[in-house]
Amino acid sequence: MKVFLFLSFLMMGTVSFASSEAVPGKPAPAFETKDATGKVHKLADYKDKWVVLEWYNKDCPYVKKHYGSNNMQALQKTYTDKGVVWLSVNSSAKGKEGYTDAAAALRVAKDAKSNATAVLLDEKGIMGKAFGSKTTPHMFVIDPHGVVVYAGAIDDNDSSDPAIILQSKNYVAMALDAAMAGKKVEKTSTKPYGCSTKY
Amino acid sequence: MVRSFFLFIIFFLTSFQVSAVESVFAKPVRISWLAPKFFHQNEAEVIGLYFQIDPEWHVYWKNSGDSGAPPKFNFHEGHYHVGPIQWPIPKRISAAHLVNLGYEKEVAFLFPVTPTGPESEKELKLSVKLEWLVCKVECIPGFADLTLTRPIRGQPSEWARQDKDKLFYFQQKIPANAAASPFKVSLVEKKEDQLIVDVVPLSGTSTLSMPDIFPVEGELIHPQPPQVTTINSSFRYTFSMPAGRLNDESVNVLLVSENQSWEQPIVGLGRAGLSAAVDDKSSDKSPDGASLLGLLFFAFIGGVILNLMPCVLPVLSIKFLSIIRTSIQTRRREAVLYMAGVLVTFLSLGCVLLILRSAGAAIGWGFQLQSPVIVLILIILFWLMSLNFLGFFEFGESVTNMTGRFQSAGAFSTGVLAVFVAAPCTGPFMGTALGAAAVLPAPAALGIFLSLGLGLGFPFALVSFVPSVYKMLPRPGVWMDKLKQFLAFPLLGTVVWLMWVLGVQLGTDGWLIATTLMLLLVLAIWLGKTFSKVWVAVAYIASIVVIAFSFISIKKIQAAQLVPNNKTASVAASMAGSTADAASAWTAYDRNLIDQARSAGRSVFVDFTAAWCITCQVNKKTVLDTEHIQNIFKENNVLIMRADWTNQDPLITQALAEFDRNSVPVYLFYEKGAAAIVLPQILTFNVIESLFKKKE
Repeated sequence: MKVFLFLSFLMMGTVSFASSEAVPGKPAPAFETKDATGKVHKLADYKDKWVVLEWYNKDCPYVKKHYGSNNMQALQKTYTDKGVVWLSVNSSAKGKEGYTDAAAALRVAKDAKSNATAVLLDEKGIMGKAFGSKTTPHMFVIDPHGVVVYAGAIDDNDSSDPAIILQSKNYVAMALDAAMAGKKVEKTSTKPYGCSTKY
Repeated sequence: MVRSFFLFIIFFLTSFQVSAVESVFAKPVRISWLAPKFFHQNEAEVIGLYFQIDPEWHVYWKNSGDSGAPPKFNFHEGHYHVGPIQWPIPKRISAAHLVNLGYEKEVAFLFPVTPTGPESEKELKLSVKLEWLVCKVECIPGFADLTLTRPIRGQPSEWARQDKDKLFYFQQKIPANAAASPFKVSLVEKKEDQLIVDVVPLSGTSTLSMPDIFPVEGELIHPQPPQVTTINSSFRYTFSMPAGRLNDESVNVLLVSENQSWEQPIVGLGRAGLSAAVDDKSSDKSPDGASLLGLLFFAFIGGVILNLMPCVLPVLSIKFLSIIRTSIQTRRREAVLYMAGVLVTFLSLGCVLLILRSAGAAIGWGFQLQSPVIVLILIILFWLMSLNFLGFFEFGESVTNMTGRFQSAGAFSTGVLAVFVAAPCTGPFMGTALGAAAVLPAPAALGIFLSLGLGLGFPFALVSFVPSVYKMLPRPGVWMDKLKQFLAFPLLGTVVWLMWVLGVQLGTDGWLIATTLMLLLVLAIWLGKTFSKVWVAVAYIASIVVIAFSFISIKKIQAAQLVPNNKTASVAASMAGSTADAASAWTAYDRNLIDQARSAGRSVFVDFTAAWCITCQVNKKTVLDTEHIQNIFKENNVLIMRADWTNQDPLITQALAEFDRNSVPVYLFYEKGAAAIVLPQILTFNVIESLFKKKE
């Protein structure tokens, strides 16, 4: 029997655990990613803060829809003014559409007049895959306890026509407004739309 | 606002925009109408918007899948009525890590149009605001205002031949009325992230092949191909879905079989959601009594068959030899103890498996042998046993003459041993039962493990307990020693095979460690036999040091392999490749490749295997890797893939779990354009040949 326990113990040592992704109602995956200025951002750094993650690719028409219309910048401004940490994440791999090195990322953010707290560079796709980011934009809202309260599309219209934004329901704003006021979030999970994340 | 407007303009200039024409060419798509030369007054006419798409690019179905967006058609008001859009059957298109649903090369979206103007109006002027997205890996959105101007006459419409042919071609691909469907779709279970449905062909339609199913609601069901198992004449589909979104009473799916299609609902989801929630408290997947009984029976039969497997037979034979000279009381006690050993071990293994499972680990049956340390322990064990059988040494006078207590320990540990060596020999009947054990609630799962154990211990118990069976054993004699010596050879064979497993796991270092260890053990035994007690002590100490050293080396090798993350896998793969896959037609397991091949219209065969799985190796040598079968695969342009589970691999464990399995072998076959079917665990030429005969 001792031998058996010993064997079991050995087996335990060789077992690895399956990976997770960001699911509303569950804790967000921990991340540790450098931004374009070289600063490292960790989920643990933002305990007690609301965090928005926005998957970004400067060349994706759907990202352009929201930046070209100033929709994204306005959203960033509204919520960063309320103390929300807004992180744009670029998971495009080197050589793929939308990849930028640190200098280019800063320049692009400045040119686009981005109001994001920081632009994270995830060229290896580690953070993107941990969260299960499928598209750009793909949005996540995380509460001060590190729990995901929203995951999915930015709004309810998957047209690439910026004119449609005025008539669209913005899921991220709805989630943040409700959750920050302590109310129940109506839509916690939607299908993201846009270009594929370019891992 | 002015600035926003300006940005809009810039945005529009960067994407494609045209206005008021009958056709557009916006690389990589060309869009034109499929319409009659003139319309018939007040009669509905189906017309089409025809997309020609450059190679490698695609546009989308109404459910675009993981990314992308369907085209949008906004008809302007006018003297006409436009009916609902009709979408032709889509296909799955793999784009990097995602699955899209859409069309390549060409497609026509169809609309019934009825002129509704007064009789005096002799011309139909149709206009539509069109938006589309065309993607390869990157995407290009396009916008256009298309117009269509055609005369209206008081006689039936007339078409240009080629337009009508094209339209007809796509009309064939429009789903038929759900009421006409030859398949009945019924809900089996709705779980948090899975939807399981059964599809039963209605009577008289058995000629139709198994349908592929596409979810219509992209919000609710993932576009990845469902996993399919065949149960008698019905098919069971398991879809994965995003957690927490499906709250509706019903959800629509598109069934496609041999170019016919039907859009029909899966109903009763509201109820299922409730009952599933209640079920969750008691059990997450409680089979009805009958099917559990069936599984227990399979487990028992599987256990009995294990006795005949080459890894267990020698151990068991020795056990039989040991009871030949005994009284009925002794052998009954032996049998009870042996059974206890088997059951306790199975139960403990079951518990370990369940505990690890609840901790979220991706492991399965046979996991004992995924650890090189265990493999090495077994090598030593079999090596010592074979030396003992050959008479090189006795386990000491003391052991045989010991009191009953120690003999009991012997019988018990034989039971433990039998279970451990049985692991690689997953035989027929066991796969289903073990797969079920992996997903059943704990009591039922343990029941299955116990059943397996009872089966394994059954023959020995039978002989020991029933005197008439016992009498059938031959009388003792010199032949017993000869047989014992002979049995050393299957054991040595097992050592050879386990060495190969270790080699696959650790590379040549593994062989070096094991052979050195074996050599030194023999030396230690010889020293102990030949010289004084002091030397015996030295021999024991030397053995212990050597064993400890070996295990430390194994850990080091593993650690070294783990540093560059995928190296273990690649080492193992290349080893398995050089030793086993002489015909390197096999591709390593890759989910994306499967999806790609399937969307390209190829069939796919997947072999889930492991070096330590004998059944797998037998199937490989006698069927899969034969020239005959390889030729069949080649002729039918099948993508053949090998998922090697020799070492821990959560991806493969997960893939197996999707088919409710957690042991190998498992053989999957994706027929062209259809979902996967699971083949029997014992392969024959016939099984493989019949896969391709159906179509001829």
